[in-house]
Amino acid sequence: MRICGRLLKVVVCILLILGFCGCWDSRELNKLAIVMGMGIDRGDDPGTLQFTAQVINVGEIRTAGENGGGGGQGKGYVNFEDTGNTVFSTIRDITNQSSRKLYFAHNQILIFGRSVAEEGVTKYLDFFLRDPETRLNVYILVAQDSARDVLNVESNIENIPAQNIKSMVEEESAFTSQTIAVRLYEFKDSLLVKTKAAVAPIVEISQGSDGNISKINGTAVFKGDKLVGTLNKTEGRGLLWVLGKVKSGIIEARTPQGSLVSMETVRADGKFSSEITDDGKVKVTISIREEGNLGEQEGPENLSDLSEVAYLEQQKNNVIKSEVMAAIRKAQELDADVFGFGESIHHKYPKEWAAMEDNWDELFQQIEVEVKVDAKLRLTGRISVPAVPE
Amino acid sequence: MKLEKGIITNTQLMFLIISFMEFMVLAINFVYPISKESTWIAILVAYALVILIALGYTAIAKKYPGKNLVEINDIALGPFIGKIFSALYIWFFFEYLIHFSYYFNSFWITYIMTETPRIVFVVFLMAVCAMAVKDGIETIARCSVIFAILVGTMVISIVVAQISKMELSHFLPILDMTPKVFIQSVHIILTIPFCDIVVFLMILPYTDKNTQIRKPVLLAISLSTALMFICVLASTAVLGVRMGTSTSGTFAATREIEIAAILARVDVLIAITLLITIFIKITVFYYATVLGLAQMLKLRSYKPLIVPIGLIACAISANLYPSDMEQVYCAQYIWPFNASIFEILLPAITLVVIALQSVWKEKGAAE
Amino acid sequence: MIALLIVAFAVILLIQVPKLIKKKYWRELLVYSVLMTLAFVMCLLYALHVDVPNPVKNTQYYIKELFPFSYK
Repeated sequence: MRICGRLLKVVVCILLILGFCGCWDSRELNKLAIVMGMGIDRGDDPGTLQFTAQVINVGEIRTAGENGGGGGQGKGYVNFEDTGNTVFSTIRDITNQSSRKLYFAHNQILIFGRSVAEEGVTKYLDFFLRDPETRLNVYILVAQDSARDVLNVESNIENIPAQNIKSMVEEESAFTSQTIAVRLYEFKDSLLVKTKAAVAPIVEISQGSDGNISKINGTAVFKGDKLVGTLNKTEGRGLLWVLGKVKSGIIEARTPQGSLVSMETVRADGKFSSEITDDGKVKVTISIREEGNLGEQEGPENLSDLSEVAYLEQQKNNVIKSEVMAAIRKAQELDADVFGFGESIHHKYPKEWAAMEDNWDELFQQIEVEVKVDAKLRLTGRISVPAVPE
Repeated sequence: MKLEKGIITNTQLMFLIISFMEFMVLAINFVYPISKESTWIAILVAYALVILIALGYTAIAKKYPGKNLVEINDIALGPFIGKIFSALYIWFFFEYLIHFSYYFNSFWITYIMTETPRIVFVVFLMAVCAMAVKDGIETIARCSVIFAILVGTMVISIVVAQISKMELSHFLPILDMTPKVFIQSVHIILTIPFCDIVVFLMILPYTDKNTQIRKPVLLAISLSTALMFICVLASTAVLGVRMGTSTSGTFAATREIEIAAILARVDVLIAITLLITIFIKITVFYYATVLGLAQMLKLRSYKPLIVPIGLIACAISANLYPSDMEQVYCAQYIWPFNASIFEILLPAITLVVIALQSVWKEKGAAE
Repeated sequence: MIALLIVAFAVILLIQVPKLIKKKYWRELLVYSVLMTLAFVMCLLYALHVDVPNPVKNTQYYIKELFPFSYK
């Protein structure tokens, strides 16, 4: 009898373990259409949207060796498009065209067409926040015209346009730092705060040497959830200086003799703190610390001389300051607090914030800004003087 | 009470000094922008001078066999002035420690790993050197035998590989500079690579034949100068006009090597040479600092002092200079004067005092 | 960053101090404590990006005063 009881317990355990394999919800790999990129545009009829999903075509992925001719002639991806009233219904409708159900867990980017961005993006974001399969770390971008066209532009290096755009966003923010790379959770955080303006990089299609290429150019600024304006490259980097998100970049300056010098930023750090002055105005102090090396010089001067180094550091300070001020001025023009100054006041002065929150728009126009930059020039590379006769 | 119980043989001492001075192969980068093609002449002049100075050091050491520098200062100059001198010497060794750490850090970041923060290499190097110092002078001396031979072989093989790119016309014009510039370059070579053997006054008492140290010291100086001379000749012959522009002349010369299109990019050997020689140099200075401090404060062992001094050195040397260019400027214009005080002036005063004392003693004995 | 520093220092102290106490090296312990405090303060200043007191600047200053002639 005792052995029987034990045997029963063992059998029950095994049955329970079998149950946890997840057989009910199993989805085989060959029934999945893995989505790499998504785009949302305004549909032809008012109130509808056009959804584009870029799915990997696994059988046709070209490897590096087979590039151009020979082997499979098909593209490595397929774009499915459909129109509908809500995002979820449109996505499900795509099963009318696709042999497999769309699988979102590997999605890399989400592009909003310009028309949709100007209308307001919140109603389209809700599905991506709610669904358990989509992830919050997709990159958000705004297309210059339509997202569908951007997802159709092929690149020569990457197989899949969505992969291409994702790598460009990451590279851009790491190596030139003129546009901010925004993930869905950061975008959502900005949308949740009333006074902070969300931003996203803009991707446009331009004429390349053979065919179209997609390029990242500029930052889109949202007020609430509507697109109101853009920041160009200088202003975009100014925003990144303030937020402390510059990872690397090139600063150009002029020597006292007038020739151009480019300096590479190796490390940068930015913080800001705000306070309310006695006459009720807001004062923001931004401190930026930066370290860089001399990358290139045009002229024949000896820039290892200590006085020249000090001059170049001062020039770097000026360049950074002007970029930051340009960004602040554009933000004030668009009346959008992209930096989060309002939130920093909220954190520091919660009681006064309740009164200030509603007229933050006017207060933002009148903030006093003090920018302190500490830029250093550390190394000059392999040579100390240029290759010119003495 | 003896703080250091290890004994090294005279041969080990010689190799230690050789591997210590082999850092010159890279230290002359500070001199290249000043005395461009005539650096080799400056080396010869400096060699003649350093032999005289080394004779002075060994005279001090022979007068008090078995006693390191701190003890010598106490005995020869009296307790009060002796302590001041010892403190100055220890501070000097510590300054060398942080300067060399900074140089290593900066070299590695410029040429090998550009984006690393400035404290990383300092911490790693200091940790290794701390481990070496903990093991005592015997271990260091044993390592240095291997290192000296290794570095010597690498330098010779690099020089041999560069033969095809050498041109004798790169040596001309000879001495195309004002005397002031030439004297400056001699001064720099004298103080930075050559005369920091003053630190060996801390180590000489721990050899087994205390009184016969003149031979290993002079032999070591001669051998390493010969190696360095060959290296400078080779670099000058290869680079010629370009010497003054590069931030590291030997490195630039080594980059040019290309044998049968297979063996190229051997400049990493120079980086390894730098690593090994800096390790020996920093270890010796670290050891001298810690030992001297323990001796001055009459402690029973120098081992507890290793970690704090290392940490202080890390914190200071990470940001010692705001930029690499300032270090070059300091090495060329400021350091020769600073170092001369400690390497030439203080030992000279000691020597004079010793000589006077022996004269007075003779007079007293005669009377 | 600072938390990491404190943890590292705590580990070092935990390893080294018991050895000193066991050997009854009181004088060494005193010197050790003084130097470790100095080291901790300096590393903390470095971590906070404050300028650590720099011997080089002082050297440059007094050399310039002491030696009116120089190579420049």
